[in-house]
Amino acid sequence: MDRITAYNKIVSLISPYCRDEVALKNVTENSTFLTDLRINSARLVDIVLGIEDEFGIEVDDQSADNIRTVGDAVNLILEKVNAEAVS
Amino acid sequence: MNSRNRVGNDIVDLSIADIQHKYLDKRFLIRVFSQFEQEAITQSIDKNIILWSIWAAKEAAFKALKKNVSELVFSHQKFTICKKTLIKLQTLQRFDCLTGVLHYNNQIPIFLSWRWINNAVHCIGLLIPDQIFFDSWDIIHSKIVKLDQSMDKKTKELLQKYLTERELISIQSDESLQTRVHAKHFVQSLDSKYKIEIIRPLLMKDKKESFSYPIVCTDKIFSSLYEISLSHDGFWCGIACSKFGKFEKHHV
Repeated sequence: MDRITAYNKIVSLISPYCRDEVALKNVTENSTFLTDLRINSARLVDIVLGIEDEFGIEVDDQSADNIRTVGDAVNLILEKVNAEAVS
Repeated sequence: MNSRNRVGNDIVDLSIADIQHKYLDKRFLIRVFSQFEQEAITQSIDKNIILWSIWAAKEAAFKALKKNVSELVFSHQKFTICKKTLIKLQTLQRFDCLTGVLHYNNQIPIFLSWRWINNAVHCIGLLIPDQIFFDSWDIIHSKIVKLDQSMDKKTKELLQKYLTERELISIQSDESLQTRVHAKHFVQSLDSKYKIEIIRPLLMKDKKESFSYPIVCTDKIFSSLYEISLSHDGFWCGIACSKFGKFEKHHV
C-alpha cells in the first residue's frame, strides 16, 4: 500500500468524528488529532478500531498511544500492512 | 516513579448526540472496559451514564498517574474500577455524587470522586502513593463550568487579556481559553496571597513538541504548592485542584 492511499483512507475515517469543518478541510499529515482536529480521546478509540477494520491490522495500546498526528497513523498503518505482506 | 500526590480529572458532556448509544458498540466495550465493567454497563438502567462515568474515571486516573510515570501508556483495560465501587455506581438512586476506588494493574489504587450535573459527568482521580484508604475529599477543590459555545471576538479578547503571555502559548481553542481563565480565577480565589498563573510548558519527546500537563505558578515561580487538572468536553469544563501542604506530610 502506498502512502497517499493510506492517508486518504485515514482522512475518510476521521471525517465523521471531526466536528471542525475548517480543520478537516485544512488537514495535513502534521495535523494533531486532539488539538488541530479537536477529536477527543473517546473518538480516538473509535478511529483506532476503524483503522483495525479498514486495514485488517491489530493496533495494540502502545501503538495507539503513540498516535498524535495523522502522519503517525499513516506510518503505523504502512508499517503494519507492509510487515504482514512480507510475512 | 515520582512519589508525589497527584490529581487528574475528566468531564464528559452527556448531551453530545454521537455518544448516546455507545453501550451498543461491542468492540468499543471490549477494547475499553473490563468484563465486570461491561456487565455493570449492560445490566444498568442508565447504561449511557454508567459507561461514560467509568470512562471519565479511567481518564482522570490516567491523567493523575501519568504525572508520576511519564512513560505510562494508556491501556484502558489496566485501569479497572473496583467491584465495590461498580456496585455502588450501578445501584445509585440519584446521580448526584459518589466516591470510589480504581486500580491500575490491579495494584496501584487511585481514589475517585464523581459528580453529575445537568448533562455532564465529572470525575476526579487522586493518586496518593503508599496510601490504601482516603476519605478526606474536602481537601480537593473542584468546579464545573458551562462554556460559552459562541464566544464573540470582544469577549475572547477580554479573556486573553486576563492571561499572561506564557499562559497564552498553550491555548489552542476557545474552549481551552475559557477553561484556563475559569481555572486561574478559581485558584486565585482560593489563595489571594500569591499571583497565580497556570501554564503548560512545552516539552520535547521523540523530536516532537507537546505541552505538558498544567502547572500552577505562584508569583511567576513553578510551584509545588498546588496540584491542578483541567478538562473540557462539549459545553462543559472541569477543574480539580488541591493545595499540597494540606495532605502531603513531607511537604511544607
